[in-house]
Amino acid sequence: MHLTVVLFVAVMLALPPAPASAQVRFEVSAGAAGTGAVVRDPIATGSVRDSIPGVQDELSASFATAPRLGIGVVLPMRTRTEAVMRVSWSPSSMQVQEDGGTRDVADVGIFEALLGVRSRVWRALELSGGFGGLYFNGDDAGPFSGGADIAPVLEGGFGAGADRAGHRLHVRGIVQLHRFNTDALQNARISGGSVVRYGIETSLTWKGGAR
Amino acid sequence: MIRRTGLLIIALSALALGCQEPTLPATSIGDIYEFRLNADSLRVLRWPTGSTIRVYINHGADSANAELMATAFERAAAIWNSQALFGEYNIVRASSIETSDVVMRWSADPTPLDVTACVPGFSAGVTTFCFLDPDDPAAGLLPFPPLPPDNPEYDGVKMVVSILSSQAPIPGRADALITHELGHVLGIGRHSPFPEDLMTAGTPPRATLSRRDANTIRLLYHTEPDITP
Repeated sequence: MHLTVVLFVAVMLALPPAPASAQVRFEVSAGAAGTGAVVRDPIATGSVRDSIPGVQDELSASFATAPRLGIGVVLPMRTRTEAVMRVSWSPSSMQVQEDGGTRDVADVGIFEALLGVRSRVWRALELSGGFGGLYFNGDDAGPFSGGADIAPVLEGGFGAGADRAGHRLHVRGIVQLHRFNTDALQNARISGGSVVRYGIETSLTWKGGAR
Repeated sequence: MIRRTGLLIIALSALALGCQEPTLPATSIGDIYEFRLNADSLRVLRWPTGSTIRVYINHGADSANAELMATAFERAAAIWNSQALFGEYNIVRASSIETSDVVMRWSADPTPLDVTACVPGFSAGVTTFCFLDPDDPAAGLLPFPPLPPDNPEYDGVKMVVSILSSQAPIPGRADALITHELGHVLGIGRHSPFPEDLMTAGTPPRATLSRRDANTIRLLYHTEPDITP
């Protein structure tokens, strides 16, 4: 968690103070997200493979691509830049890929809280970045028995935004880097590592809001 | 200046996070013991991946012993299930013989199954099963028909676990024996040659898994089976 604290302080230092007249806006988002491998397990050493025929080559696990829904608040910082605070949720599942195919092993709700910055870089094109934390709420069994750590996450995004009927509509692709570890994996001496999460989303920002 | 420093910290943090290894086990499985069944040749016996293995606890005449067995079973099932990190198997308690794959009993109680074709062995703890076709083990295991009043047509019971009733009063013994026998139920077809392992021959020295026991069951469930119950 120390990395999250460092990032929080860094972003606070990096952001200019909001003008007193800045209007807080609200945003809803919907999209889909999935991950690369969160566990890659070579199962056995070469000598074991030599002595026992039929040992599986490798097991890998990832989170299935699933809907991702969010709500947030947007605070204009400059003409082209705004700060975004968002929470979102994705009802996903952990999938295992092995020699015999792919199977679901656990339902997982992925909750995230992010603080970031979004900026128009050229015409409608936007860049965004942020950091926060992910929480994996899985069944208390298998890889999630005993619970999971809150994972620090970094996010980058690229997309476009357009004003429509007084509101702003965004479409963007996102890439996140986060840690993943659970008590059960630690007990099995499987170490935590970094995971790439990717997704696409659309969001709508209300022009009106609270001052 | 402060803003630039902040952005630099963000960039460096991102780099540090991104450059770490993907999630990997600290070591691959190397320290195991032989788990294959010595049938006509060395055969891998295990339940199909993703199986729920339903165990019926035979109540018998002694309620205290029945409670002891049920408690020890729940504990042992949790220990083995904790090794099934990715849903390889799940041991649960069945509510009736007709919904079970395995029946567990104290030896002094009559068997609620027809065991004439496959007679349980005699030991402090023993897991009994027979091949449907002794010349072709891959054909699967012989079912134990339930005795009336249960439905004798039910052919789902493939293993019988018998625990010697005289072991019940010995503190901790039921835990150790039942945990050991569930290892055989899962498919560990041999005894460990290492005396500190749960799956060693004779009286189990412990009621928990050694690192070697855990490695062995994990490898078993990532090895292609020759025989499935």
